[in-house]
Amino acid sequence: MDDDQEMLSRVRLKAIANGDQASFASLYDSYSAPLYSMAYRMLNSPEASAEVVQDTFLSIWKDAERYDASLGKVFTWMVMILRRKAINRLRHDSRRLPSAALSEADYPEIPGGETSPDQAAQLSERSEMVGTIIKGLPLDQKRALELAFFEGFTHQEIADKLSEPLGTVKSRIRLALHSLRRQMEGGLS
Amino acid sequence: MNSDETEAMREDEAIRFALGEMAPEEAKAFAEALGSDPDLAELVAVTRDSLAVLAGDLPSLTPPPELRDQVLAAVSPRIVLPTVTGRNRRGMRVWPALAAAAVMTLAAIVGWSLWIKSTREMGRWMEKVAAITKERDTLAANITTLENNLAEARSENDLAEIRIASLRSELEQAYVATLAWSQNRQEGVLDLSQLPPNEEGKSYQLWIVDENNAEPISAGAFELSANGTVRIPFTPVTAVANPIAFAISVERAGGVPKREGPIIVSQGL
Repeated sequence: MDDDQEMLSRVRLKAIANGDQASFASLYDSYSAPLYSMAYRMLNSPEASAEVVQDTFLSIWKDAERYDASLGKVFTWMVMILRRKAINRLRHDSRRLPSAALSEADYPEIPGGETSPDQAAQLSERSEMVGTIIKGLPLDQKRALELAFFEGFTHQEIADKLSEPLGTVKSRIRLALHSLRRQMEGGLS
Repeated sequence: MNSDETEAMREDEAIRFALGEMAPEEAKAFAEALGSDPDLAELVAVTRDSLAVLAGDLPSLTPPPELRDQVLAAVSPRIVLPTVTGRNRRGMRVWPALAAAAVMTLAAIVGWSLWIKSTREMGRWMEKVAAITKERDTLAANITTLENNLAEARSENDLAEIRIASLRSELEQAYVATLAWSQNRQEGVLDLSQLPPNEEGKSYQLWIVDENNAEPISAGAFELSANGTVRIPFTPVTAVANPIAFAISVERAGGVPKREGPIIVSQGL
């Protein structure tokens, strides 16, 4: 998603917060496919994916005013909402006992101020760099991230699934994220 | 526990926080701590970005077509503005006439009846007719007041939907035009100041950027013969669904159907 698309999405979210259904329809048209793809990746069922996507968009309609641009892109916010709903669905369907159901706070806030144009540009730049760097991660690190992100496994569950020590799994995820941060510090100074 | 282990634990917490896997109270406390730890806050942001990037990289699937209708049908407008339909308004204007007709009919019946029965009762009945007439006049006055209030409210609604934009010069970064646009009426007024006269063989042309249209919509070409303030009413060539910006470009004399020339003035809404 480029900067224009992101700016447009933020404008639409503001309009949605004021009850604008046309903007809501536009937002659906822009993001339903990637969100549905993600839901399908997590749930492996067309029916369940459609339900979770619908549920996600209803949350977006209801909570549009809660979106905080200083915390990231609109798509990232929507992905967080969808992920929580999909994981709760997974845990419910598979009767997998979670340590706790995912929080209702889709996107917990970090205390901070308004986003300046410079900060917004930096957020956008960061997101692009993350994409580039993730493609270059070692496969085991990328796999560990995917299991944690898309399948909602706790670190212990990932360790059990991969038959590897818990410490190794935690290290891989931390290494992947450290690698991202290190490389970004070089590029985003 | 050494400092490395402590650090690793904090990072694990940051990842759990980023993914929304903390209980609300734990998340709230962690969020407050993040405010004073930019490194951990950055790790949280990177975690979320990574999730979004991985999600965006997945093979694209198209959701079922009927899902769109289901989603849109499930949301309802939050604000329902009162509307006054022409039918209702006409109906309200009829009331005074109906009331008058009813009173007159009643008066005729009463008069005829009294003439037949007794002229002594005439006075008493006439008092009643007078009271009813007075009541009718009061009712008619109330209806007029109500109609005026409705007209005023309607006018305020019209004003509320008018959008104002100050157009900024691309070169000098100074505001050179102010524009008012009524979405309901699909028309607007452009007030120009400090825009130089157009070159020979050229026209200025106003464009409306509509979110639902790939191309800007022409709102007419115009020419300026001298500096100063000029007021130009305009109407777009096609309906504008959701205007997000206005712009003025320099085009061939008389204007063009699709923008060709440079934009010299623009502003988003």
